[in-house]
Amino acid sequence: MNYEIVEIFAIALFFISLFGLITSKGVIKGIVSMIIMEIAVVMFFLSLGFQTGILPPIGAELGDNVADPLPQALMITAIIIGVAVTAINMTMLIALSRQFKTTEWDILKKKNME
Amino acid sequence: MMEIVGNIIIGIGLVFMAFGVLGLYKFKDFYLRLLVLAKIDTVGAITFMVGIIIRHGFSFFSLKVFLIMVLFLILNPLTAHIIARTAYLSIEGITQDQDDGRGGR
Amino acid sequence: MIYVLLIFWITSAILAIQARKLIRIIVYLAIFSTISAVCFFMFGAPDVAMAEVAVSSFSTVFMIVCFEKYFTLVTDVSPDAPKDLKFRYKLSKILPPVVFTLILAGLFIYFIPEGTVNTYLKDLYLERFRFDVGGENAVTSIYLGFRVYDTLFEALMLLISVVGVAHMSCRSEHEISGENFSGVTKSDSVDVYTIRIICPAMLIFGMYLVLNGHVSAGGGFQGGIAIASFFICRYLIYNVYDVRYGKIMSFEKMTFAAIALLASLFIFLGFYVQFPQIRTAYLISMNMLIAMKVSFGFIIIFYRYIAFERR
Repeated sequence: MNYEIVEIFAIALFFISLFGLITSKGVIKGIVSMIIMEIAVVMFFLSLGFQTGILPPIGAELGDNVADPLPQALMITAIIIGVAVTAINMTMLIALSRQFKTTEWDILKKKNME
Repeated sequence: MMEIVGNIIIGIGLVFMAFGVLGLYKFKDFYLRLLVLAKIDTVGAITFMVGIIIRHGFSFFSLKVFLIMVLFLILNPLTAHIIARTAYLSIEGITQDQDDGRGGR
Repeated sequence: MIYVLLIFWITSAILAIQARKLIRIIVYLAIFSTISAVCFFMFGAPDVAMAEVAVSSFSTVFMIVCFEKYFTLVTDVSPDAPKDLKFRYKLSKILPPVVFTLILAGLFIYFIPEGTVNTYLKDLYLERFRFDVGGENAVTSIYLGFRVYDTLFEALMLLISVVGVAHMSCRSEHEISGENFSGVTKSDSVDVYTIRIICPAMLIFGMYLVLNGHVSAGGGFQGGIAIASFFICRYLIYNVYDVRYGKIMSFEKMTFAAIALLASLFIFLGFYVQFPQIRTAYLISMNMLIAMKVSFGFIIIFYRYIAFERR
């Protein structure tokens, strides 16, 4: 067990939202679970190497207790891509509800079978 | 000296906020709750920021806090106004009986 | 302190997953995003926190717009789902996901790599970013200098997403008529006058974030979303749809081409080594181009949601 408490929180939330994604009855809950899963992944990457009183990597003179800038630069792009994915999901949700008049997985499966 | 005065004013702001949260649970009417909410945001936060400015002295940092304070002073009554007006126009007759106190309609 | 915040964080996420009304889902998601932004700030990542706050406020608005048009906010999420099921049936539905999730989590915990976090890249970047790329913000230097491929492909992803949204939403209704599409009540003079005071402040704040991205917290993405929120605020108050959609779309593609051109000129053709005195100009112009790209993309997404036909 090499993980800190902060990272364990992030991993636990990732699996909780995975559970929510599997057991979701409707499409909306799936989208919400995916948003939460993405933020949990971001939290996990940012919490690597966390110490109390850590400082941002900005400024002319950087001390010893500085956060890692590489995951931050990657996670900014990850957040923007996440909101793009959410927008696509919403559009597909609206198209789905317009065509089938429902957003339930079970009813959608039945209608797709017919 | 200035630090002590600033700490006291920050404490007064926290007291405002605590009373606001208390009122949020005490009142069941929608508009009364909105009143209390506006009080938390406006009075509590502004007192808090005045305390911070006094504590830090007058510098570039407190100028930024002052700008945020001005934005708060403009925006918070506006949001309360918009919420109250939209509720009045769209939801007919929110009364104490219909509101179960848990935020649902 | 951070543990209390994390407990609130995980609680609000669980509430958002299990809530039944749409309005509660949106509110819990907003709380969740705000708490996670505070946590990011405490991890020493103010850039990510700013991006998270901006994105969460934007996505809250467009979720409300989208859900208000197509579903009712106060009803259940799944009204058609069967109720009053037997306990054994519920158990048979809920047990396989539990087992599956537990097995995945167990595998994850079992295969933990040994040792500590490797700090080689961190030390390298923190040591060299000021001389190799310039600027004083290490995060901006990394995503504009060392890892510019990531930024390019992120911009491409945003472009693809905007094209997808425009393709999947139906096209014919909104460009013909300029009538009101929104379901909100009409705003009165108090809103309009106050927003007239506030809107320049929002634009100035966005430009500040963009122009100071290389020396302080901020950058192209955050400033771009702040500038886009100005246009969204303008729509919500004035309630007009006068955006020329095709022009913004072509502008966005041209901006992406400009980003690719500038990055390839400076990074891959070696202008960076030849002219070290224009590095700051490169950083500022890249940030401005990224801000234009992001704000155009988000304006298109928001206005497409507005322009969807009502059911």
